[in-house]
Amino acid sequence: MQSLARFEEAQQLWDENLRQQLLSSRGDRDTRVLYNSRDLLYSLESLCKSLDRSDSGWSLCPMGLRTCSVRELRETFAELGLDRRQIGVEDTSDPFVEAHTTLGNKLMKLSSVQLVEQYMRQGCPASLRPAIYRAVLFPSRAKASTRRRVTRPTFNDGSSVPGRARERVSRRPETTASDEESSLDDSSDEEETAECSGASTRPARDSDAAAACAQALARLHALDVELIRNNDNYFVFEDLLRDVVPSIFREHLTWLRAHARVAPRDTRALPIVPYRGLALQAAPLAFVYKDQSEIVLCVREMYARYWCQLNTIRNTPAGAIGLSLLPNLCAQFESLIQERCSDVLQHMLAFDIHPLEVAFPWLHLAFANALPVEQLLLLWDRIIGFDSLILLPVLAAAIFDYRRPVLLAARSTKHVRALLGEMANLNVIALLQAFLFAPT
Amino acid sequence: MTGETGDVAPARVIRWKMDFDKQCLLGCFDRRGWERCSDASDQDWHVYWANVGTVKQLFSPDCVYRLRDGQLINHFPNHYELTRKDLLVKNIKRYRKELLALQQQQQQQRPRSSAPAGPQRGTHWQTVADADVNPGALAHVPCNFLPPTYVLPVDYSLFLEEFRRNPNSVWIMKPTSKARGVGIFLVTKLHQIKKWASKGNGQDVYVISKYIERPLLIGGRKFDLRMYVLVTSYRPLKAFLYQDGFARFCNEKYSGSAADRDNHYMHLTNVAVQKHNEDYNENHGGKWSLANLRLYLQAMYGADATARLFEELESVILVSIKAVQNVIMNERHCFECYGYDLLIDENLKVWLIEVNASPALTATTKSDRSLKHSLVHNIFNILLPEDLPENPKEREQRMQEIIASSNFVTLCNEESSATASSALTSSSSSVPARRVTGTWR
Repeated sequence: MQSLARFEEAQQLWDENLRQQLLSSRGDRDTRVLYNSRDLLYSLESLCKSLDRSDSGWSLCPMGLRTCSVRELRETFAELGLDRRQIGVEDTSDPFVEAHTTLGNKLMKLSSVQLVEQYMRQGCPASLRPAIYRAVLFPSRAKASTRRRVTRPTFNDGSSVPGRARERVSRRPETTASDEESSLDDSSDEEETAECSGASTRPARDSDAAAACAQALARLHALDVELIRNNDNYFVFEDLLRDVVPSIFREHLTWLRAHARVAPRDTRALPIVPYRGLALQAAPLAFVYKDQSEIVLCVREMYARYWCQLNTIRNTPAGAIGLSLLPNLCAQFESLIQERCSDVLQHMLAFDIHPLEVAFPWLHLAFANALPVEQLLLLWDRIIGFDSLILLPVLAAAIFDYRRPVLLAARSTKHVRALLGEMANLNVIALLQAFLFAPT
Repeated sequence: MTGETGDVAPARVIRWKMDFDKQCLLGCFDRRGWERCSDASDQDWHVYWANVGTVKQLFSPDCVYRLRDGQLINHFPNHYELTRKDLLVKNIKRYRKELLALQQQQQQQRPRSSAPAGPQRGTHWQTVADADVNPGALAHVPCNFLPPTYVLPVDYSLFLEEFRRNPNSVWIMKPTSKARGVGIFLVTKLHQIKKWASKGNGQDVYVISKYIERPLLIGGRKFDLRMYVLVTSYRPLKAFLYQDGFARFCNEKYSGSAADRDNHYMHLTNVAVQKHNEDYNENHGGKWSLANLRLYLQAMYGADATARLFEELESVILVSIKAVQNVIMNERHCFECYGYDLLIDENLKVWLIEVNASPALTATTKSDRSLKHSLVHNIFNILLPEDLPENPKEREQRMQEIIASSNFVTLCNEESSATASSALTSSSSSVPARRVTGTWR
C-alpha cells in the first residue's frame, strides 16, 4: 500500500516535472520546447523503468494496470456488434443509412444528450455531423458554464472517475433560468493571457515558465502552419485553421482549467501544454464547421474530454476499470496484442520490435496523424458516443491483427511502421467490429 | 489472346507500344508480363498507347497500314469532335437541338396527362439511364452545362451581341488547340480582343466563353474537378466513369476583383500553371481527393444536395459523350480515356470546361501516382480481361462482374441493354457479328 502511494506520488510529481521540463528552454537542450509523441513515450518508459519491476516482461510500460479482455470489451461496445448496422460500413444506398439519418434528424429536435450519444455509437451521417456534435459537445452554453470544479473529477483523491455518458450526465447539476451565464470565458482570462505572454508580477519560477510557454507556442505555431500547408487533406483550410490552436491558448485556458477531465494539481500550472499534433486533432473539424469560432469550441471541448487524457502519464489506481488515460490505454493495447496477436508479437520481439513504439503515436493523437478524414471522423463519432478512448488501443490492435501476414515478414521497427502506416484504404469500423466480434 | 485469328503474332504474350514513356503505363504493362515493341516500325503489337498525332496519321487515307484484329489503340480517329473546344460546343449545340426536336415530337404523340412536367428532382439520373432505351428521355437534361461560348473569329458578331447584352461580364479566351493553360486570358473589354486579333493571333482558332465568376470556393479558393472516363465503343455506346477523380485547387485565394484578373494563380486551376507559383506544394500538388470533397459538401450542404451534384456530374459527362456518339468514327480498334475538366459554381451547378483526349498520366504526388497506376490497371482489366468464356451470355456476365469489381462505374452500356431486351440469341441482329479475338469490345 505504501509503495503504491509512493508510486502515485512519483507519478504526480513526474507529470508536473514533465510540464516544467518541456516548457524549459534551458541551455544544453536543443531548440525543441514542446513535445511530440516520441517524447511522451520516452517519458512514460523512463517512469516505468524507474519503478524497477521484475515482472515487466516484454511490456514497454509495465505498471500493473488492470486491462479488459476482449470478452469484456464486447459488452462495453455492444453497439458495434456484427448484428448492428454501422455508418461507415454499410453502403450509402443501404436503407439503414436513410433510416439512421431520419432518426438523427428526429433526435435533434429532442434535447437529450444521452440519446444522441447512444445514436453516435453507430456513427453519424456526414450531413448530420455538424448538428450532432453541437448537440453533444456544447448542448447548451448556459448549462455548460455551471459545470465547474464540483463535477470535475480528480483521480488521486479517490473520487469517482469519468465513465460512461450517463454517469457524467447525472453529475451535472440542475440548472435554472437564473443560472444563465452566457459567457464561457471568465474575466480571469485576462490574467491567463498575461501569464502566458510573460507579463506578470509572479514569482520568478512562474514567469520563467510563462515566457518559455510563449516561446513554445510561437514555435508550435510555425510548425503547425507548415504541417497544415503540407497536408493533403487540410491544406485547403490553411487560413481557417491558422488561428485555432493559438486561440485556445490565448482565450480558453480558464475554461479548460474548469472543464478538463485531467488537470494538474497545481492550479497555477497550465491546463494544456503545447504539443505537436494538436493542430492535426483540430484540423478534421474543418470538414464539419465552416466557422472558425465553432471549430475552436469543438476543439477545446474535445481536449477537455479526451485529448487531455492522452497527454498525461498519470494513470488510475489498479482497481478501477474502463479508463481512458494514456498509460491505461498503452497497457490495454499491449494486453490485446498478447491476447490476440501473440504469434506476431513473438516474431516482432525476436527482432527487437516493440508494438507499442509503433502504435503509440496513434494512441497519443487518436489516429489524427494516420487515418483519412472520413475514417477518422467515424472513429471519433464512436469515441464521443461511447465516451471512451479504449477504442484507440482496440483499433491499434485490430490493425496489427489485420496486417498479420505482412508483419510476420517484417524485420525492423521502421519496416513495420511503413507497412502499418498505409491506412488509406482501411475501413476502421469494419476492423473494430471484426476484431471484437468476429469468431476467431 | 485466343490465337484464333492468326493475324497477330501467335505468341501468348501481349505486346505493347508507347510513343511517350509514361511511368504508370510502364509499371502496369511490366506487372502483367507484357512485352514491349521497342522498334518504331514494329507493328506486331496488341496495345498501342499513342500520341494523337500518330493516331491521326494511322487513320489518314494515305496510310498504308491497316489495323488488324486484336489491336487496340488509345484514340478514336476524330476524337477532336469531343476534345477540341470549338467542336465540343458545336456538337453540344447540335445535340441539344436534336433532343428538343425529339421531345417536341414525343409530346405531340403522347397524351398530355402522362408526360412528365419537366426535370424531376431525384430522378435526374434515372432519366439519363432511361436514355439507353428512350433517347428522348435525355431531353429533360437541359444541356446547359456549357457556358455561352463562341468561336473566334468566325462567330465574332454573335459574340458581340451577347457581350453587349451583359457589358459587365467577364469572358475567358482559350486557344482551341493548346493545353495546360497556355494562351488563356480573361477579357472584360472589347479592345482586349481587338488587341489580341491585331497581334496576328487571328490565325489560331480561339473560343471565348462566359467566365464563371462565382465558382464554389472551399477555404476561399477556386478549384475544378478532373474525372476520367473510359469509352470502349461509341456504337453501341460503352462508357465508364472512374470513381476516383480529384479536385485541383488554386494556390491563391479567389477574388473577383478586376485587379486580380491577370493573376493566373487565382483563376486557372491547371497544375501546369499552379506549379510555377512559389506557394505550389509538392506534397499534395494542390489536389484533393473526391472523397474529401464529398465529405465536405455533405456536412456543409447536406446529403441531398451532394447526391444531386454527383448525379449531375455523371449526367453532364454522359450527355457530352452521347452528343458525339454518332459523329465519332466508331473504329473497333479504338478506345479512349478522357480527362474531363468540370467546374462547380456557388449554386452547386456543374459546368463542363473541357474534355482532354490525352490526360497527363504523370503523377505529381504519391497519392496521385497511386491513383493513376490504379486507373491504368483498371482500364486494362476491362480492355483485355483474361480467361473470358466463349459463350456470349457467359462472357457478358463475366464482363459485368469485372466492371462491378473495378473502380469504374458504367455510365452507359448500350450493348447489354440490347442484349437484355432482345431474345438473347448469340447472333443478335442489333450487334454486328464480331470475331472472337479475346478482347471484349
